[in-house]
Amino acid sequence: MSQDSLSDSTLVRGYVDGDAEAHTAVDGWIHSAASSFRRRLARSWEDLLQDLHLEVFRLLRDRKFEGGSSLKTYVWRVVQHTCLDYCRAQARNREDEMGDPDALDRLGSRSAHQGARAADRDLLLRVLEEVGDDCRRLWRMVTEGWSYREMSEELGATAGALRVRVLRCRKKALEVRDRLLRNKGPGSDA
Amino acid sequence: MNEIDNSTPMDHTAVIERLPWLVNGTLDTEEGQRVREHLEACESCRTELRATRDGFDVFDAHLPTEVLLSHAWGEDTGWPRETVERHLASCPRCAEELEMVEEGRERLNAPSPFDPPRDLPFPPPRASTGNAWRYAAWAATVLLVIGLGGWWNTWHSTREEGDRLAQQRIALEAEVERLKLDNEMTQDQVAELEKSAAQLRQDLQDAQVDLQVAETRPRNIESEPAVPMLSAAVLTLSASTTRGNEESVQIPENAWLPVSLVPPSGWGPEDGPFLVRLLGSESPPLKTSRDDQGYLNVILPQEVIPVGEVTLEVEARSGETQTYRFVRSLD
Repeated sequence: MSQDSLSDSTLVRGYVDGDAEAHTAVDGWIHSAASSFRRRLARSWEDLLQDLHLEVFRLLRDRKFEGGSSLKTYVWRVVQHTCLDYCRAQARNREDEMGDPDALDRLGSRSAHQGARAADRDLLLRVLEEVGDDCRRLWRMVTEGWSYREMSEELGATAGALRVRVLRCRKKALEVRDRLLRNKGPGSDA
Repeated sequence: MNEIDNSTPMDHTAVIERLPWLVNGTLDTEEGQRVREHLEACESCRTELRATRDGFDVFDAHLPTEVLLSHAWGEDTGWPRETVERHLASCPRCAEELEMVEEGRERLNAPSPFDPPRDLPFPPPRASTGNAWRYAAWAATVLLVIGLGGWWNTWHSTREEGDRLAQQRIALEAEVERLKLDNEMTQDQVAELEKSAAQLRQDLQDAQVDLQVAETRPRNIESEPAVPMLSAAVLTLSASTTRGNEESVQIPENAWLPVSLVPPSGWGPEDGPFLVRLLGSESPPLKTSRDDQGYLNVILPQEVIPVGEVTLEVEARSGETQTYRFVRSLD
């Protein structure tokens, strides 16, 4: 075992046992690693730090650190992963607040393809590549919460023409998705 | 202006075309109500609603967290590199996340003041680089002299004497290597300490900025004793914030709102002073400059901030402007 890993194992033990020096070191790393997310998560910063400390403590206590990298690198990676997930969860919450999803669920729940969101995200990205820049731009505005009137002003198109373009893009995207799913086939890795 | 006739029921086409904005919650109240009423009674349009929500899943797809992290760390993501890069080129959200990860990763390589001391023993500071090299130079000189002596002796003296000198040479070579090794460790350590010192200087600067910000609060409160500063953290605004993602803030009555604006990357200190205007307000512009961290800081009294979307316009000395938005929600 190298000197560094010896030092790391001492730190891990110290951190879990509540040693002040080990906490100073690891907590300092957590703070440094998360600092690039501070601007984005300004309002949740203190909550996030608490979550990060808890997550790192939990992982070290449960001996998830196996020494494949230095402890510092491991902590960095855990912190960045947690921060990214935090940012994404916040974005999802904002999106879910937009259109009263409960009411929409009553009218029409999401289709069976919704599972593709997590499992086949590479497939969804391939769909995005095929639909083209214009459709991606239009729909990015929709997913970001622009109204069709704001979009028509911004893009210099009539509201009616804009709505038709957005509808066509959606149809095209779902056609591509269905074709790719068919080509992939059940249980295929292609 | 509403383009549809409110007195007649909406037809299928009109409903289906509006579904994306029903889902994103931006239809007018009345328009949304009419679409919902149609959906309650129309199975085919409900099918279209499901397809619309699937459309959101497709168009709001992003790189998985682990793929983004692995890409930023230069590791194999398990995905074709061109797929990842094409998505990053067309997705501002993933591109922004990648930037944050890369910025954070750069900090990993800088020694942290929190790093624990290394377990490896290294020479005390007095064994400085110069002395170590001096020893090495002396040893090398002695080695050369003895080496020449050895050559001379093997030529002129006995074989036994030559062997003895050769052994001395081996011992001296080992001593030279040891001194060089010590010297390298010292240089590494010096470099590490210099980096730590640089990091500490940066942290000190950050702390000084925090102190300056903190010091402005009591002064403002002193000058306006009846006006409490908003206790929440400073509102930090970026010009790249996309519509719908604006920060939302509540401001208690009689409070002040400290705001930090992130200037465009092309604006330097020389572009200041900067004038900050609250669009739609009669209040005079506020003058500000970049602070040590590059932010433009202003403090807005709540009575000039309207409820709803608020737009701040910053004008550089050149006349170039940049706008920032946030939302003031109901108190």
